[in-house]
Amino acid sequence: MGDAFPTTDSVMYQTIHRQPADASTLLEHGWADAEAAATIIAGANRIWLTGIGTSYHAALVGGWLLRFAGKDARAVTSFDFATYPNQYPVGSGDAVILLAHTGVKSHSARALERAAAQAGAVISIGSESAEHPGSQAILRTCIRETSAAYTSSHLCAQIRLAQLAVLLGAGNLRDELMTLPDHLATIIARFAEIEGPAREASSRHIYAIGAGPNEPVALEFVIKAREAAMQQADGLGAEQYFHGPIVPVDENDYGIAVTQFGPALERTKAIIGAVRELGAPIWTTGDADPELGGTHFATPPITEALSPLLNVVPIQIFAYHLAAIRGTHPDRFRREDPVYANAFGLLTL
Amino acid sequence: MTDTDARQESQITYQTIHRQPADLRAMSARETGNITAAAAFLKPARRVFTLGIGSSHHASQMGAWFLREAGIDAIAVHAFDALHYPDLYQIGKDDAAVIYGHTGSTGFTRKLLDALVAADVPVVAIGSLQAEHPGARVILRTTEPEGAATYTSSHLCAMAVTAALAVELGADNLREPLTAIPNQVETVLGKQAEIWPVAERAVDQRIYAYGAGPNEITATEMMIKTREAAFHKIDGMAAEQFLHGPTVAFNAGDLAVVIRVAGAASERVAAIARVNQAMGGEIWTIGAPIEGIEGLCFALPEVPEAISGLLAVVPVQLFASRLAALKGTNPDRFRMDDSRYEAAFRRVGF
Repeated sequence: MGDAFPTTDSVMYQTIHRQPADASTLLEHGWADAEAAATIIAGANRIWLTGIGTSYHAALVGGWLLRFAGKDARAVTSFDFATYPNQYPVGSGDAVILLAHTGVKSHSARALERAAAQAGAVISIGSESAEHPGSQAILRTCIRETSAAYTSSHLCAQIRLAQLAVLLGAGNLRDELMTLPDHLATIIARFAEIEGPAREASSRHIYAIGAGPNEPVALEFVIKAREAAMQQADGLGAEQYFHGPIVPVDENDYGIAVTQFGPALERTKAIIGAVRELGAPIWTTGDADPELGGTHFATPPITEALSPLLNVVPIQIFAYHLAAIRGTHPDRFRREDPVYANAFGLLTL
Repeated sequence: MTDTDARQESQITYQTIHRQPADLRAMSARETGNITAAAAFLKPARRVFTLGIGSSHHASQMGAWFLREAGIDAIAVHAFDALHYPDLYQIGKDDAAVIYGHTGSTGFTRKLLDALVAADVPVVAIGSLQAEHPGARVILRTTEPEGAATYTSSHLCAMAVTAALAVELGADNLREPLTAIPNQVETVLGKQAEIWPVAERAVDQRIYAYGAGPNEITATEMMIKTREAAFHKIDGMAAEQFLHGPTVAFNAGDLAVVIRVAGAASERVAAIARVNQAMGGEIWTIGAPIEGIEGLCFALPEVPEAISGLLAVVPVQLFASRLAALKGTNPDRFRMDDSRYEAAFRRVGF
């Protein structure tokens, strides 16, 4: 473990641990504003969800949640939404949900400006201090993150989207959603269990996969592992990974899969089983143990639609452990290195 | 001729890449009537779903891009997801689907076709000259069945025939540029030797490919081709998404393949390339040169951004083929010539 960098005193570590409390706050006190926001977008023919980086992954999860609620919901990066308006036409029958934690990133601001000008309804999701001019309702998540590796704000954005889904047609999810804080606390109490797998993975190339609503969890692992630990990690939907991208895998690599009960479970198990068969150690997380000889981190049983909200947490913890083991600073986006600080200074995020 | 040249020229992959201008011309001459018929099925649809897996998923994403150029409400959905989560997409009779399946017999794509046909959804299928797509209203034929696992010409033709479909549906701005594509692909192939030094250096490099808009798809296709041909460590994604987190792991000496063409995202992609160069990375640009970037640029003829992927994919294919020749991997077999891989992959099943 590198002495020069914070680990348990890192902001990422602390923010991961804050998630049950942040989730409780939203689920105890956040239904009235969620209902107001849901009313604004309820009549839309299409709902566009847009964000960038981790917020795009929240948009992807939100797309799944709103489709579970029976809505025609589509996720697109805020860069594409702002840059290619003809590709993503928006009119009076459309609603837009913008996800932007700070509200100041350039393309999210452009996307919001466009949505406010063209869409019939615009709501947004951001931190307690985010400014989203033009949004008809801002659903707040948590205090503004001070680690570059967004964790609680990402989870809270997904909770906000789940609340919208409940209110827009997926009422069956409500009771399970309310159990989330307790489940999160249970997962985080087992923080140390993930250190061993992370240590084994830390010197390997990691391939992460997930299917259905858990594909964004695999993609999120890539962001977290790369920005917290500068770890070589790639992520894809499980079936897409099998059709070509799996070919280089060998015993020097490491496989991660989200194994969650649902229509895609058997196929996901088979694909991560092939990774295992080809010699790579594997770590799985989810409510279904694939029993493939790897290490499984069981998350509490929950309906597949809500499962990304649980499964993302072990993924965050894995990335944190990678950072601690590799001696990297998880909070800084590598800006403590002047080369990277200068490089990122060449443009505006 | 070097040993590497000889190895490369013996690849079915390489031979197929070079067949592309002829395949494009043949397809264009053969499929005109079918394109008109397919357009008639798609035009009245409320939404058009484009569906595929693997490289066909990438073709379906590009296809949706083309169809949206024509004002069609087109949505690319992975065929696995559409099959396993049908209630979430609610594809109905008033919608239409374009299914990309080279052979027409790959498991999930075939099952999805059957399900859509049973639901009376109008389906246009895109596949090889021998592909079976029972129940499809129209089949747009691309090429002979591919002999290599790295689908190249069939992929390019699948994209090109969808672009022609988009023209038929109203994307008039693409009509003339599209007719020039076969000759332009030939021009690109004629410059292949420019790619060889890049591939030679890349043998020991971690590669990140990125592009924006339609060329995000080219970047992800580069990832598939390079992994399956050369078993190489490479990732591909949207340029802006790469910047927001994933680029933090980019190290000095890594190779960024930057697909940058004229268009709405051009300046931003250039700016991101400069970030990676400042991190100590090497940059290979495909498309148009970037001011301030020291690496090589493989210049492409300028075409409308919407169809630029039809050209940008070709150097990507050639790079993968060359890297395979340099590394001594067989790009044609999906590693099935190794019994361990064959057993593992067959157990999963395609």
